[in-house]
Amino acid sequence: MKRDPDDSVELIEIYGEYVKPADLLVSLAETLVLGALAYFIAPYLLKTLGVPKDTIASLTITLGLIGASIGFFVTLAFIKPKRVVEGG
Amino acid sequence: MLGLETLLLAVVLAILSALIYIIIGILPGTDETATMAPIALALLMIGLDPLVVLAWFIASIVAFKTADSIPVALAGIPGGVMAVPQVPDAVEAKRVGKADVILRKGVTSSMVASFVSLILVLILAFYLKPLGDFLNTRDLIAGVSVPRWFWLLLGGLLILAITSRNKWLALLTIPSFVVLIQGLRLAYEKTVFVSFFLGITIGPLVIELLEALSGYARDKMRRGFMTVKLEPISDIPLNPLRHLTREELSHVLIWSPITSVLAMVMSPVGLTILIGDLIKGLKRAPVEASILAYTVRDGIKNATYIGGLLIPLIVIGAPTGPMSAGPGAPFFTEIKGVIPAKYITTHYSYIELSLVLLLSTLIAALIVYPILIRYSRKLTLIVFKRVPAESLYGLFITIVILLAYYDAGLRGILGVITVSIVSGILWRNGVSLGVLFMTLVAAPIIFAFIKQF
Repeated sequence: MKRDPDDSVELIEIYGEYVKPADLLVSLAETLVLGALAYFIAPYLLKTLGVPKDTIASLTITLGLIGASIGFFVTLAFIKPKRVVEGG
Repeated sequence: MLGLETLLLAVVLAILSALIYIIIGILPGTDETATMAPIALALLMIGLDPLVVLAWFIASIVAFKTADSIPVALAGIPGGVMAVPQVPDAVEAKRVGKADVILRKGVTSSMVASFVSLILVLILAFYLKPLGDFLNTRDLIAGVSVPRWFWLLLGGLLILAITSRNKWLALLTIPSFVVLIQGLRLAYEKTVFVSFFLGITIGPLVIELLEALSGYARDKMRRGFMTVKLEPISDIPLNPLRHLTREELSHVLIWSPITSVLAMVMSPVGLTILIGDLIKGLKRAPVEASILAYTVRDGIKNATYIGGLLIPLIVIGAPTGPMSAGPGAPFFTEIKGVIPAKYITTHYSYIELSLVLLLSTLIAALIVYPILIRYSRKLTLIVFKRVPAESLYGLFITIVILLAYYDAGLRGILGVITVSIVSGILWRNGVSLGVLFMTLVAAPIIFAFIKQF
């Protein structure tokens, strides 16, 4: 990370954190798409795997949340925090 | 009966939870309810044993409420809402180069308070258990069947409303919010809880986000990155006995049990502010006063979360305060026909329940204490440099949308949006979110009274 970041970067403060709107939208979209994809594919996937009908409903939300978590980790790779740490 | 498999699962989840919530604790901008409740809800929805989820939750309280003051001590930035009252004292201590002093005192105080309050709560709840039947008895008042715990909830709700920054708006909000919730339930044609609850939780985030994206809040615009200055700290000895003075320890031992019981109906953050200010008045020298207040507040955070959840959970089985109706709400929410709090108290003996709670607290303490004492600076550096706020907010909002959809389909998502906008605007105007959480729980009974007129 640059020690002295470009002052022209326009950020907004949300909940005490600096956020770049475009990055937030990209990260939300990516996490949501992966989560929703996993959620909606889950019932079909589980059915073909022969999972009993009763457990399919709860496993659907599990897979959805796993999808979202994967999405979160993927965003870590390309979205950079908007903090400059001094004394590091 | 507590099987070996359940016990092992509880241990594994307590370990995982402690590790995850150290990171969440250090991260700024992570609200307690928004980060603890949706994950606990998700774990309950996927069908885990509620006792196992409780083990997860207690470990997360210990880790989160200890780690959230680390960035306060090192950089003056709170890691959660509960750590906000500690900021001025930390700034005072840092000014004279005592960042490592408050860091070790805070962590140790949190550990002591977690155990002391848990043990007291377990003993107290055991003797109060007969009171549970009394509190769950329903009386017929003006044609409405009212469980007696409702009056505790209403009392706490009124106290919280009156102590809100905008007390008149908060008081007027109670009946209006009841009508909003019950009206939406009619539109849903079922008694939805989860999507409304999540809506309140993310209210402030949604409002801040919408304002910022529309360019409405000009004062929120920033040029350039946020500069964080991390204080240097020297090596801290691991022996906890050397961290607290006798005076500090006695304050922690007195105030953590008292506040853990008061949190049954009172707001944890309110208690943290109140007691800290009270103690500060005892000391003349400003730096000494700040260090003492910081240390005791760190313990009160853990104590109020533990007592605020466990007393209502064990004794009553219904939420009666801002903690149990807020971050702890998943345990009082009917999920697939089961209320987790009732399941835990009817399926497991008191000894089994106590064992799991003590074990998860111990596991969390054994993980959290050495990591924070030895590596808090390194960890903070890594977290600040690697985890962007955008990714976290994206994940929270996604979890909320998925859970709301799972709860009630598209109507669930629209309900989250409606309730979050109303909640966010009320929060922005000085109404504590606890008022809304407690109103949500009280809504059906208050509405039954309103309907009489």
